[in-house]
Amino acid sequence: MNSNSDHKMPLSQRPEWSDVTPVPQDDGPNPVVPISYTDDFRETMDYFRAVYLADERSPRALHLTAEAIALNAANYTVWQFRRLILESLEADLHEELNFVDLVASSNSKNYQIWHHRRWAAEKLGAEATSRELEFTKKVFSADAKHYHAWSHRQWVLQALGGWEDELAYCQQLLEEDIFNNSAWNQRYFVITRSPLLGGLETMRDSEVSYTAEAIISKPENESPWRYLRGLFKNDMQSLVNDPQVLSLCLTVLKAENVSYVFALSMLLDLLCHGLQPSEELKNAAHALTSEAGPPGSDLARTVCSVLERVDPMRINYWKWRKSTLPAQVV
Amino acid sequence: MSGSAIGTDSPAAAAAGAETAAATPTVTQKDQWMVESQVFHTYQHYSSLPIKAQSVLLELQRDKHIEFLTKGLRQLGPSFSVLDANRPWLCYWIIHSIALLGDSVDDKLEESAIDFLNRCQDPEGGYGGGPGQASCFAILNVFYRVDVCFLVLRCHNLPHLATTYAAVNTLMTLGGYRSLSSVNRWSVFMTLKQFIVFSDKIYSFLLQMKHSSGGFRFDIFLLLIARHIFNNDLLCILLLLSLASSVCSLMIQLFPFRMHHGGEIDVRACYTAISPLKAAASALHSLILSLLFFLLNAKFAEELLHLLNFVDNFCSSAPVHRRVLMQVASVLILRMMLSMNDAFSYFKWYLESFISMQVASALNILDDELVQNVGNYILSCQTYEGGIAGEPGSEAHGGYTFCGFATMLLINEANRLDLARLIDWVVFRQGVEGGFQGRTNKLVDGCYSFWQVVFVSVRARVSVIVRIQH
Repeated sequence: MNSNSDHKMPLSQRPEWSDVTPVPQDDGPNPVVPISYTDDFRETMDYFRAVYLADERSPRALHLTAEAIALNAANYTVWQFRRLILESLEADLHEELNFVDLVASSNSKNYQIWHHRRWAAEKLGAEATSRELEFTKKVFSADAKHYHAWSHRQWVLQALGGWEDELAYCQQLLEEDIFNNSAWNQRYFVITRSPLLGGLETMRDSEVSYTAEAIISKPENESPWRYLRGLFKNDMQSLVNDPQVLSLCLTVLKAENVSYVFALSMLLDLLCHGLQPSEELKNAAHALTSEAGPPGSDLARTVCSVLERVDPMRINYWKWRKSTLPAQVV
Repeated sequence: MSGSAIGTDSPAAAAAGAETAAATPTVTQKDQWMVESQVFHTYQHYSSLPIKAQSVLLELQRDKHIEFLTKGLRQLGPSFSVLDANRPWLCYWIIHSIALLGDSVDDKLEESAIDFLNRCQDPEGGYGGGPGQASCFAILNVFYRVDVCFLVLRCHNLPHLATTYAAVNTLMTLGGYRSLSSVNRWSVFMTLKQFIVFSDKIYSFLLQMKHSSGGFRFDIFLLLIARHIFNNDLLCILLLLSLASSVCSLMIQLFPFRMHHGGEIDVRACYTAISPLKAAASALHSLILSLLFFLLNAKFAEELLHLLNFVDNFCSSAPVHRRVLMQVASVLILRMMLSMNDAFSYFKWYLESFISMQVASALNILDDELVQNVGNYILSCQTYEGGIAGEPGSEAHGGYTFCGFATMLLINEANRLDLARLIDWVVFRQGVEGGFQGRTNKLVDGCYSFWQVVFVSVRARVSVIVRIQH
């Protein structure tokens, strides 16, 4: 596939295309948003339209789709037709993945490419597993939060397998960057969906420990706080009763020079779900207010007030939380 | 990672840990500090300026934007070739922006836009990313202009939900400039002669699209386009308009959508599919309204009664159609009665709202387990963080949160989401810079001021639902 050298010779001058009449685009007499196509672009698309309308699924048509993709990798009609050709020709899809690798190197944020990869990998089945996992890893080495790549990786795991090293991979990414929310999300994905692990409830205790450590090292990091909530997603009572969680909040609230926002927010959620706070917890929260004297009885309201002060960006949100506190909250 | 018992961790140790870690910032931290410093630099510069200079800096350069946009509508440079499969989007962004800026495009440009979008249409329904070749079908694009006849062009581009959404919204925006009820009546009549309607063939094709995995594979996206040329038979034309409307309502039921034939399935598809359908359905009913004005004022009362009978018979084999059409029919009768009263103009606004209610309920009567499928899918895309992802399992993301939430609102299932968690996630996407990030611990970006802030505009409604949820 020498798309570069072929671009030098116009299609109209290539003998292998002499039997084809190019089909120009009909923009109408007064088009809007007309694009000043280069001659190369216009000609390539004119020939593409010809083979597309004729539904010609030949090797030369396949080659032409590659040229069209090189000019505009977002043309989904070209990609879809390419898939039809590949199927008709029963092409080697490993080669096709090589082709996608090439296109992806300059177009990684393009939906069509990722969909095409998924299509090819699905057809190849288990043979494609390690290749696809490696490919996404390569993408993450340049951009550890690449959205399409993560979706693709998740699809590969669910459709083709390869779960064995996934939790370890998440761990590695988090060691490199504890703030990487995509890695936390993937961790949640593995914990909840891996057929090799016991499921969320089995993993919960060890995950809480892991998360707590991450929080202690960086209390201002939102990701582990959300992850922690997620571990108790449908079971708020367990969250309220978990001693690790309470201890964690307390630790953060008593620390100095750290961000209290997430700890307070967690405490608020716990109170809203029936937590009976210890004296220590009440004192720690109260210490953050500017009020003198002993803590009042309404800890939840106090927490909201503190949040209004330490998280002024969301002052209206905290006011709203205060106004919608459940009646029986302390 | 080595574990230390949480209970024995002292605050000092926690702070010490923080200090050590700060010595080697992660990629996230570095990127964030870079943006923060850039933004604060801008804020500092702004605050150092005198008041008058500040207000100049904040002024929206309306005229310049309109000029830029209009120029783009007329011509785009070669670098836009990468958007060659997204030209309806370009139309939408430009025309919608012009509308938001309080201006409009001139008539000729408007007509050209409409003509162009028609050329992007696929005869099977939906809009592709660009135009194709001429074909033999004549079509009336009923929901924006009724006094022009267009050719349906064989599309070289597969219909794609995103571009269809863009095209429909463009046309709706343009349609807003010309109130449907002020359309020249004779041209309405003349144009209706070439009206094209849905065929049952298309309807059954839609039903075939059912996917075995529980979702619907909806490749062909129909937007009120009728296909069959009628000759001067006004009644049939009206009937077919009604049919178009009911099929339109039915199409809302087919989810989750693929973006295009053989294309990806994700949350964007749900929103881009539903939104124009609902908009188009409402617009279509407005058009029916206009036609009714015409008919009633021209005293075609007898023909109307014939129409109602015809409709009833036609629907006998398709009960689902029947309910929608009976509602439309009841509206027709009401109209007729009021017009005879000759107090028509006085009750016009009342009828408008009544008919809107009918439209709304017409759309809702088909709200059964088919619509539930959409709701189920989007629900499965709400993550542990509270936001909504593009696919089940992916990361919560501002763009998909907008699409998912907006869809749920449109199908009246927003209360199925964990709204408290969703709100909590969204409010925390606002950074110290003031703008919004798309995902936790990522950078703020102007676009998320749109995607994430949709909640603001529906805040009242959302908080009611949340209160009910608790």
